[in-house]
Amino acid sequence: MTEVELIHGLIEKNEQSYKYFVTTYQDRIFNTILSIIQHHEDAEDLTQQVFIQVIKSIAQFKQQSSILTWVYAIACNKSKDYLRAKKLKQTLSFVPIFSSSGSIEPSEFQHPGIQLEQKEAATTLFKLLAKLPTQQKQALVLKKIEGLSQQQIAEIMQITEGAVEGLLYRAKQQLKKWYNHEYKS
Amino acid sequence: MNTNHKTKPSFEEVWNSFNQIETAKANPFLYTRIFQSLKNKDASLNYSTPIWQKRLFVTSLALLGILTLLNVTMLVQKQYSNTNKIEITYSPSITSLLETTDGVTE
Repeated sequence: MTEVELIHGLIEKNEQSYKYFVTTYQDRIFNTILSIIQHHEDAEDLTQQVFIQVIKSIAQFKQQSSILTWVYAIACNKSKDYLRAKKLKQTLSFVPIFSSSGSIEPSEFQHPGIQLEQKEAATTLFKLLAKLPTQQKQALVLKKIEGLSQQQIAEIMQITEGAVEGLLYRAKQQLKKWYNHEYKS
Repeated sequence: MNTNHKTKPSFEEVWNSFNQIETAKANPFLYTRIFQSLKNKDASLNYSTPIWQKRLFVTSLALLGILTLLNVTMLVQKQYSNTNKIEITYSPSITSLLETTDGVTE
């Protein structure tokens, strides 16, 4: 199925197109969201929300970029909103109504794609990655984990390629600084 | 001498571990969940009741509501106007007295 056919099928509310669309992109979108937010169950929920939003607003898709770029952009926005809400919740955690007594935060995030021999290094990396500002985190995940080009990242994040390069450079420098400070000393 | 002591990897080694992370698999039931959610939320999809039928139903319901409201208003008005009619009934003694008084006047 070509992209034009897929978009047409989604607009026409064709069930086969829905199935093709979700099954083709679900792993990549889930992987991106999971790497950014580092919470398995919430990543599943957000992935579901992303696909529902795309399907519902497909008529508004201007086709100036590929549909995958658009889906990635929505996934990044959802992740950003999630992290913002989480940060706010943490800030207000001293207020009883906002303190989450029911949910248990995982102690250490383990990405399911980490290979055994890389476990320690990759876990350390994700731990440090979580501390980065959201934009740097998104750029890094899209580049290093999703393997996208800087041009694609620029389209997804709606910034220039130069800005993407800057974000990636600063993210690496920051990670290096934290790593050398916390783990090598 | 402790030969088991493991030195921490350099940053570059840690950094390179990024390239070896495999794509995490999404929930295999994700599509089913999405489809179910869409089915529940979106009435305009092909597998659900067509939108014109829903609109017709809502319009009919609204018309029925307005008519019922009008009917009730009319009934209340009618009832109210009936209760406002003052019927003066006199006791038989007063009636006879009135008749007598009439006779006197005449």
